[in-house]
Amino acid sequence: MTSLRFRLLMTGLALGLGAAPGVAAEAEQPAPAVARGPFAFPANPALKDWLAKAGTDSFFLVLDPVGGKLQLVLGGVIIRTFPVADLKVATPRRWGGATPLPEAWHERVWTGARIDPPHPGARTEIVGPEVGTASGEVLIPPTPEEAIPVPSLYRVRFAEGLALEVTGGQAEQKGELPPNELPSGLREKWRLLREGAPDLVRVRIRLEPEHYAEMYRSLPPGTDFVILHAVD
Amino acid sequence: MKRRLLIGAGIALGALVVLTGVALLMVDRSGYHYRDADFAFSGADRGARRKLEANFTKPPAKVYIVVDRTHNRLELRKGSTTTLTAVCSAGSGYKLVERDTAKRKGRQWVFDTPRGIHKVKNKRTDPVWKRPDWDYIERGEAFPRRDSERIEYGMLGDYALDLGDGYMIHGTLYERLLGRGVTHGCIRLGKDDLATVYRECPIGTPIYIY
Repeated sequence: MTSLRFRLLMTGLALGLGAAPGVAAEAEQPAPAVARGPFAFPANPALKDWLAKAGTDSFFLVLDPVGGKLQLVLGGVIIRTFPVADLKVATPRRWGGATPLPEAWHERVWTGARIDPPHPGARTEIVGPEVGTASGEVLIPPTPEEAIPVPSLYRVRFAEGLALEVTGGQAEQKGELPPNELPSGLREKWRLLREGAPDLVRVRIRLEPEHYAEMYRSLPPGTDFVILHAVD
Repeated sequence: MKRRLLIGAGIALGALVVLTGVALLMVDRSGYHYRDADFAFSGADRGARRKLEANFTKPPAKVYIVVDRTHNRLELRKGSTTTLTAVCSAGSGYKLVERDTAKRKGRQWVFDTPRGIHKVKNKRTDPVWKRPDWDYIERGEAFPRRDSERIEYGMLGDYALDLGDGYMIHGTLYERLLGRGVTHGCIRLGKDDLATVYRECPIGTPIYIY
């Protein structure tokens, strides 16, 4: 099914390219010496990344700024939608101003999501009892809410330096900062002073408390991130 | 007098440092400058990009299943409509380690429900369960001499939908545990929800697990 979707997508793109004047002009130029994929997009390498991944089994977070939503996509299927209430971008401060946003940062694929702070704890390890010595006691795992407590702010960091900063948790709604997170907040500020800004660019979004917690608990590691531009 | 002056100056200096620190934290707590975003196209390959975005998400026209393995939730969908939301049980995430013996080194299993895209490969009514080695190890029981002794009836409920590699969507005798990740990788459903899923999902139905 997946490969069929991919072929359909490619076919659609091939038809679309014929109608795209900018790309048609590019096609008249001599072919590059380096072998490319099925379609060449010399002017926008970011698009090649999209094409390479579209329709594959990769997880994608897709931010739709116009529609005000963040969607988790797998194989072209939207499996979860999180309405986004507020959206800002940020770059590190420098001498009272801000560093400029990297060129075409919102047109590329950001890869390898990693939740920060990470989920607590290692796997529970059970060693099988010796034959005939089992107690018969059944181990009941905790609920997801018990197993993965949600911090008052978290970031989804991508390998190339973008961080999706997620706000809107229960604690923040009530105007509280849990006391147990004060030390980690101070540690982060100390790290910032010592090591400098950890992220090239940040995209800050606000979610509903329920979605805020849900995304923290269930976002698959390694998810990629793209931004849609439905209107321009 | 001089000593008092020095102490006073020291206190004033300390207070100034603390106040400056607090002020800096208040003004610039993150070290980042936040502003409204501009997501306009740079213009390169505009037509191709619009086409790609338009085709990036397309729900299957037929029925499909979405499973949130963390929150133990299964959804049956058709297009963009959800026709069933069910509480399920997915893998516990536990790791089982077999004790080393004189004959062999202990094996290990990780009880995760695998993320990704799967398909219903087979459907069965009144399925039987052939107990795998890990079930004996987990319960501290000796392996049976014959394979036929591994067969158990009724453990999987009324129906089973096979996903391949031994993973299934099936029923359970322990409905009170639905909503918790208690399985060895399979997805358990309550009796009524399982009947709906079995009825609505033909072989080949895609399953999206995240």
